[in-house]
Amino acid sequence: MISPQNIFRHELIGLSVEITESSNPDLIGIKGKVVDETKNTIKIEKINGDEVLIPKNVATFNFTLNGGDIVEIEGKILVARPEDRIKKKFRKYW
Amino acid sequence: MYYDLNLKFNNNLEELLNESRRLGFSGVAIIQSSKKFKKDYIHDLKEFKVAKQMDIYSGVEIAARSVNDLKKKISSLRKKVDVLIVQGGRVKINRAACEDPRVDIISQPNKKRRDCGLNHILSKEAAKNQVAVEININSILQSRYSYRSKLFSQYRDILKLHEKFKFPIIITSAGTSIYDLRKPRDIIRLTQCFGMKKHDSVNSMTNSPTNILKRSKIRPEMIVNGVRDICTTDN
Repeated sequence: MISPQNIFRHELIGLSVEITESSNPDLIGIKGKVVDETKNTIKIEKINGDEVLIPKNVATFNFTLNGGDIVEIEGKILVARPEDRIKKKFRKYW
Repeated sequence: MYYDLNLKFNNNLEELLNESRRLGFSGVAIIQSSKKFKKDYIHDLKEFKVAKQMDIYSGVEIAARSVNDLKKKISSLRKKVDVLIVQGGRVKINRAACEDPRVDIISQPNKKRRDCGLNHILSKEAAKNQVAVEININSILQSRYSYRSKLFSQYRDILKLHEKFKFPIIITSAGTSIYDLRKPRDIIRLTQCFGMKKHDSVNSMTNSPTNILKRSKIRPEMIVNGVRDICTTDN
């Protein structure tokens, strides 16, 4: 079950997403559904049907989970192949 | 909006708060020692906050004998207070404090030392983990002659490292009585004695404390570094 505690290790395809911060201002505000993921990019299908390829390490994403929880994730920590993210170590303390 | 994040807890707290407000501080943190930490006292501060119409935060200063002791105290006290200060001085304690993102401020890394207590490695770690290095006005006021000039040279070294590695610097009074407190403008002038630029001094009394307090506000929402739970619905 996907939850805020495990989302950064979980499959992202199918989740609703919004870009809230980015070093590229054109990316801010893009909203849609994740349809594909590679090591460095996320492909988002917008509401009008267009697909955009977003580099992970320049953006901050707000993912909406199935239960309605909203989780903000810095793209930098998602930079890894989806199948490798499960064994990636994350800094626990903040 | 000037902040003083290191006012020591004492019996006539009301007087201290009135005086700091009169001098122009819009927020203060009252710091307890980790040895005599009382949780009830934080509730009293909330009452003061309402009565004085001033931002009053709780804090703790950890004086640790070893790295393990420091880590234990940080884990037990971090969630209870807004500001967590580590008393520096020893090389190992300085390093452990700079490497831990749960620490807000490292106080007097130069205490009882000939050098400034920081080097390029610790500076990089402090910048990475957003650990602010404290410049303590009380230690300047209470030292004389060669001790004071030595202190100035240590602060100059800290500033050199700050310019290169960009770790946050914070100026605090560490006052225990009203006679230890000074106006923010006086403090800015005093820091210029050891080569601190005006905008750096202002930043270290406005932006750095604000960032520390912001960080402590969102800390309960953080799951791991870079992941924040913004809105949880309890079903």
